[in-house]
Amino acid sequence: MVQLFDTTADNSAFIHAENADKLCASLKGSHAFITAGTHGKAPLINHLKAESTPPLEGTHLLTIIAESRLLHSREVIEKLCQAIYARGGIDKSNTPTLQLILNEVILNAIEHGNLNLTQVKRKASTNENWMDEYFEDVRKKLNSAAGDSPIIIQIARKGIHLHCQICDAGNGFDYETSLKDIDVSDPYGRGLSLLAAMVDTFEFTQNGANLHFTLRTRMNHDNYQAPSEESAKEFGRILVVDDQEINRDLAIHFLKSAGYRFIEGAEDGIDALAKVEEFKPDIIFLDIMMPNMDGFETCEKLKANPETMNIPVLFLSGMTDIKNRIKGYELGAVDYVTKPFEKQELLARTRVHILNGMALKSLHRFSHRLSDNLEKARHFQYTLLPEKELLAHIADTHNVHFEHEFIPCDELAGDYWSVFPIDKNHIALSLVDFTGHGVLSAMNTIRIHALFHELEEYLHTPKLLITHLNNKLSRLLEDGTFATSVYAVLNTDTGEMQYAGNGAPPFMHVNHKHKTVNMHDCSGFPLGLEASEEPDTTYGNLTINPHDTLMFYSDALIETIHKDGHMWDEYSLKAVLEKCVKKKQDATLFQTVQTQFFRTANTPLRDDLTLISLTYK
Amino acid sequence: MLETNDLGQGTYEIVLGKTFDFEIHKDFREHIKDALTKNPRKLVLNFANVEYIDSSGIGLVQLTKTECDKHGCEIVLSSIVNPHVKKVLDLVKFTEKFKVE
Repeated sequence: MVQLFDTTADNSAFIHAENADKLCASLKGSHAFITAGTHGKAPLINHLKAESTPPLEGTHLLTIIAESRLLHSREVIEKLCQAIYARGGIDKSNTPTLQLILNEVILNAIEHGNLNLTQVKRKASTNENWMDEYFEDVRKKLNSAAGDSPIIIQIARKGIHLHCQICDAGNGFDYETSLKDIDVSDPYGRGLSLLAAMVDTFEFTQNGANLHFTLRTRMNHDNYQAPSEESAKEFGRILVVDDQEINRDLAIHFLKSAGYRFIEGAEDGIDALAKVEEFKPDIIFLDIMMPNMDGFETCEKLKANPETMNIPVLFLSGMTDIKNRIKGYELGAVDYVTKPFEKQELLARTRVHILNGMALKSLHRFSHRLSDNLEKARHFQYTLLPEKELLAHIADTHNVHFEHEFIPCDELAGDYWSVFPIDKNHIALSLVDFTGHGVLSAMNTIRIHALFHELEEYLHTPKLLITHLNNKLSRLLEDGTFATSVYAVLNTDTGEMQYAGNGAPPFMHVNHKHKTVNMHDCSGFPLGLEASEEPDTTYGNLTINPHDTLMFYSDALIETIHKDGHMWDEYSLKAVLEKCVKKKQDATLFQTVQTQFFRTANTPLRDDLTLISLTYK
Repeated sequence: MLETNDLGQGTYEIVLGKTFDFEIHKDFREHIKDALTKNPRKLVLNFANVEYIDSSGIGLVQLTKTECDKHGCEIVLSSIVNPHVKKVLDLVKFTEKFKVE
């Protein structure tokens, strides 16, 4: 894991361009590396062993030990940040911040620590050419033997924090005075003030020669990246299980010579199962005939354990008969290679299966994280809907009883509904259906939830509310995105209701006394398409009587294809309700519609379904 | 990398490059020196191209202000478009302390 480079070809350059390239190139792969010059070799190695650089807690991402001369470079620090990003330490949005901080602290460690320039800088800062003189001093010192002195950088990740430790080989510096000096208008000490302003915590120890800071960052979850052949060799882990040492060594030798770095051997099935747990291979080569536990049984055990069932198993066996091959595949192996094997064949198959295995593993991780996040978002979305307590309260105070159903067709929905108690004898009800479903539509439901609160003063008047809502949505929504809506305000004392429709399906008014069902048109121009002083909205009013029911729904109720190949339309819904209201029965209208719909609808649904019934007591 | 433009009426503009840190300090100081020999009324530091600034860059801006003050010349920071650059300049309160256009 540790690579040692000799970088002493030329000590005279301010920045070793060539070595910097080498350093940057190696940042891509290994987790730790050291660069060491002839002058610097001894102190570097000593430093590595020194107790002054305790290992960081958390998941270790990177350790770099390099000469000051090499690290005093923006280019190298930029590459260092990219390496931390590539290892998942930070996400893209945090990279510039980390780069700035690392730049400040590494330069601080070099200039104040290893090159001992603090006093020089203090003195210099009183004269107007101090900066020119100071940088000249830095350049000279970097080119002297002092430029060989090392910096150790350790990066780890623990929870939501990135932990960084920068340790220099100097005698420390007066960081306390420098911290007191933090004054942004003073050209001196600004590096530390930037550090203090940008990190969560920082602490100097060893008289200032050791700095530990933490930065709260998101991890790099930006992209799923398919593994490459290069990364397979760099990171792929192979377990070779064979009771014959010579066979095991031969396979390991072939794999090593092809560039695979992490290979482990096991001598039988029992040993293999123990090693799998610890070594976590990406692929397993499994012999069949082995003492203690044979290959078939081992494979069976691996496939029965959810932790190991996805690791590709490749049988390597002297048994050539078709029966054993078939048995191997039946047990879940991905391949079967007969012994004696050809080097090229073994490598070709390894390459294919390890890449597939790694891709599968990353996809599993990716999808697990994604579904975990979606689940959280789904929970959040449910919190936007009216709470049970609110509905129970409205039932008491306004004599209105609600029944409702909300079924997202994906993890997240583009439907939204809400009830607002406006005053002691008015309530408002809103049902909004955004185009599409999934994440984007769900975000829009959050927007509309916020907008209703913002437009609280207009809740009383459908016309004002809809005009403002439409204008706000027109500015907020992405091009081509819109929402259909029905908005109703009910006077719960008189039963008078005003409503506004914008492209929503008609709602149903069930009159229990006369056993009739009326449809109320809610067509109109959908919200969010264009701002207007007078949006094209259907306004209407009606009066409902005690025991009447109003039924509102999103279009999934009338546009879902049923098992007979047909959809319900608004007329068939009306017919269901009419039949129901004429026949005295125990189930509520809501329950009847719900049951009848799901009895024949093709599920899973292809659109979000919202169904609300309001019964006036 | 750096560019000085004569905007007329005694106003000179220095268009900064992609990075503004110790590696360009020499070049930057020369441009400032040249501009100040022309006795400008106003000196504009144009940040439109700047994607990265560190404490040395901040130090250079501060130094430029000191020198402009001596020459009785107004200093203005313009076109701070990159959010990270803006964040750093905000942190050190340069966006309050300097005239920003």
